[in-house]
Amino acid sequence: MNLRRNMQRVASLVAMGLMATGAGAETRPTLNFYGATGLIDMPSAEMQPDGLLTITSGHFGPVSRTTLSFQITPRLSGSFRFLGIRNWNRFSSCQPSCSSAGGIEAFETYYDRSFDLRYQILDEGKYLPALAIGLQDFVGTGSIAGEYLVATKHVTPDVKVSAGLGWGRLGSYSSIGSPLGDRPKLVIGKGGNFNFDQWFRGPAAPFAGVEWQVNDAWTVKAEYSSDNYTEEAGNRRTFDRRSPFNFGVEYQRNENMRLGAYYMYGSEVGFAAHFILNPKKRPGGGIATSAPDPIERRPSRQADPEAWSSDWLAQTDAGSILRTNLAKRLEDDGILVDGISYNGSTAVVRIRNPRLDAEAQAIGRTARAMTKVMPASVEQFEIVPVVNGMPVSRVVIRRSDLEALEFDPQGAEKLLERVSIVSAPATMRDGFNDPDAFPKFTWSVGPYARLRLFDQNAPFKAGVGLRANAKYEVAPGLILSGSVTKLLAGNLDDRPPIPGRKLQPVRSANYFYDSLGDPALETLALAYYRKLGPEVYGRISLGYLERMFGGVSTELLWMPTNRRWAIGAEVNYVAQRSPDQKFGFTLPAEMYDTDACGLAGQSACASPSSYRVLTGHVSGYYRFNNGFHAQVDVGRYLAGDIGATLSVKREFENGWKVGAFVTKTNVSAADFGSGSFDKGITIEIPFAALTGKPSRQQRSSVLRPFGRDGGQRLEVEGRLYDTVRDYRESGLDEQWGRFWK
Amino acid sequence: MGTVLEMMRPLALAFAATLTVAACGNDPESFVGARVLQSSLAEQTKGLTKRKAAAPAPVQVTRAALATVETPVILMTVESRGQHALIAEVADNLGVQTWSTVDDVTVSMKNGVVVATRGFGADLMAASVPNPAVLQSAAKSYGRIHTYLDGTDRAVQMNFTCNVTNLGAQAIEVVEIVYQTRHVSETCTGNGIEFTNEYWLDGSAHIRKSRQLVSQDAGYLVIEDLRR
Repeated sequence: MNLRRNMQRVASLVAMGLMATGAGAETRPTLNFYGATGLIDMPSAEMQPDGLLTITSGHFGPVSRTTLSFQITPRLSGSFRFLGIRNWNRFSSCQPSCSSAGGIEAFETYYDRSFDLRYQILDEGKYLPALAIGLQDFVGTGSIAGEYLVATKHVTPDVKVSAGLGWGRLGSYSSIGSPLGDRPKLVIGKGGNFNFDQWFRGPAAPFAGVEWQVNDAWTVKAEYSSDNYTEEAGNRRTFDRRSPFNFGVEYQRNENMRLGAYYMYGSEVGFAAHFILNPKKRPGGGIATSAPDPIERRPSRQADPEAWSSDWLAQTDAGSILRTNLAKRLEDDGILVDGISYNGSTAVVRIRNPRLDAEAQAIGRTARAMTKVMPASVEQFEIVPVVNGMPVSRVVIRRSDLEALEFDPQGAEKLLERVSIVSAPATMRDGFNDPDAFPKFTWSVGPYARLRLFDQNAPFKAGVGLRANAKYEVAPGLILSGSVTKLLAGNLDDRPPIPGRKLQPVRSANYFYDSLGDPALETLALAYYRKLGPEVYGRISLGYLERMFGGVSTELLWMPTNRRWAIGAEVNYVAQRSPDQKFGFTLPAEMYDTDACGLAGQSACASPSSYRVLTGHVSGYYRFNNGFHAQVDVGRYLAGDIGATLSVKREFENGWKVGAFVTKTNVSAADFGSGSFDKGITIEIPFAALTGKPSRQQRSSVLRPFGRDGGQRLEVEGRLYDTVRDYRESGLDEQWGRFWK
Repeated sequence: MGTVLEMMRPLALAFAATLTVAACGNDPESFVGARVLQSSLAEQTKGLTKRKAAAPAPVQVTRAALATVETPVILMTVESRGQHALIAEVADNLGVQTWSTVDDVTVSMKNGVVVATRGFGADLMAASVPNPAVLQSAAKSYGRIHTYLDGTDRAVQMNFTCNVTNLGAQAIEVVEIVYQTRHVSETCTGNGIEFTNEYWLDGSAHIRKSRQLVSQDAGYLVIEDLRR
């Protein structure tokens, strides 16, 4: 294809874009093969709706990319990608003995991970196009690195045109020269570094495309790609790149799924599937809970003076009767009434909420039940949510406000203004307690899944099995709990390549834990939680704390009232557990095996038969007012390395959390291994958001591009900050709308 | 092609399994899908009378059967599901009556106009609504406010502008009794939504029958007053 003709086509596309006037942005922003908002293989300047989480699986010829993207803010989006290129060494000079060639030539399929960031500089206006700048694969090996500046403009309400200038691999076809200087050679090392000096350097090339949204379901796309696929098509001949033009048709199956079929680079058929999750939307439009008790309005004092009498105060069994009646009304919501105390005008009720995902709803239902149960003279309701034996806050509500605002269209806001939420005192055990609350034994058996991601020779390995949990609550705050797992199916037994290491394998022996620990005693620990002051919480855990470590863990947390920050400290002394995950702490020589040592014909690995470590952190937490949350942990990690972790999360009111973290410790990049330092992405999805039913359970996933041993923390259950913060003022405010539900 | 997809399959299966298979035990935290709740509308409103959506035929509620019911009742039909339930008054807060099915789905009404629902999932949390006198006079447009929870549980007020159209006299039958009514429709627009409620008012401006919106997701309710 000759350059001039291509350039003319690009120019005419761009001209179309510039001629366009007054066409509003009315089409859906769609995703490309990289999981970025864009055309087919090229990006556009559009952004997804704020908060959208998308998973894109795109395939053409030998190229497969699976990308997780998140619209971090309305203008900023980020992606994490796993890519595979098949036939990588098929035509390599190392054939036919490539498997022993070592290095990059040894792979039949080349796998890599990459991170992107995109920022929208300008919104689309009446005359001006939207403008965005992007960094693709900007950290690490940079094998698909590219940078771009792109503009997108609607020419009709249904048709939009994008044109841009790319660098790196996006500047590799028909380049117009290097406007910003040469691109220095990339020094990869162990990867994981920001490649600042590469960005926007070297040859640049224009790209363009057009997208027509035929109707709500169908879209057709055409583009001119500036990616030459120099390595994949040119050097390694994994496919034949005959043309810079790509064509596609896409079908929006429903709000959560989009499918596309494409003709790529004049030789290959491609397809893509996009899965779209909107944390701000619930399936079915709302959580399905049964109706609450209606508010019971008290009769007026004149109409029924007897109802207002305070004779009940003299009745000795009044407290236990009131508590029992309240407990019965709240039973269906799973709310437990631990105890009540009262005087003539105030009643204090302590509750536990093991089920409702919105803490405000548990408070609301308790308040409603109190209007049914409490004698008329009780005007002030104080509801105290208790977590692990610790009374967290005191929600003080006037009964007449409940009566007045039940059907007020602004009922939620008005009530919140009149309610006071303050820290509860350290101990509250007076009054009438539930005689059956302690000790209490609970158990459950359910399915579980374990994933091993990015194993080098397979991006995902998974196992499914059963997990049995048991919990014995001896007294308020004193909990003995444990869990046992048994795998039923999966491929976790496949031994992945295990690169040599310099640190104690505190995490990187996970293959041995997966394959030897079946069944496994996952946890068995005694924990004691206690509030030490109105704003200070404490925890001690002792036993088999997690599947790889056992020992003792202690924690203190200071959470001042009405502050956005909190400070905590944790000190743990732990020993590494045997990979068979029974009761022992003896480490077999076998678990130290790597590809470099320990196998037949190789020297033995260094293999201490036990490993103990003192590990702990000082943690600072800060809640920004725009939904972002930051945490900094400074301390000593499991491998004995010293450093700090920064994690930032975007938290949605309904419990979705999407975040990223980096940990830098005094382990050198060489000793750390691939990736240079620990980093990753965390996603927490509340079950309630997926099922539409109330549940406090959630699924947390941590995606690490390289799981190594530096910068690893103990995974102990019941860390205080997340345990208590949902029941504090900020946590209750977030889902306050649910008070009335 | 397909390698990555093949590898994703066990992942997807595993993930799906842990989400859809309910846990069992006596731990309330683990009851994900099991006992917790009759989740969908379908399940929530069953228990009384269940019928197919397509059949507008009268329910098997007869006056003879009603005579055995002590509390005054209203017949509620969830239009999108074609399900019927008898509801009885369970509370009265300053002129707003709350009516409940036996399985805890409630509708709260002020003078027969729905101001709140619970148990439908996408509930009408609260509303500012016209009274029957406004519906009868139909002079000029007026406002209506519906409060809903958005996906992040924020209470959102939606303002609508409504107009009433008098559709004339109509004789309607409500379980074997024929009533002479005035048929009135109320069309409201706002927030990119349009909905039409209908009312059949009898001589004393009492709403004998109505069809009113709960929410976009939950649809309309048909409410028939069976009290004499």
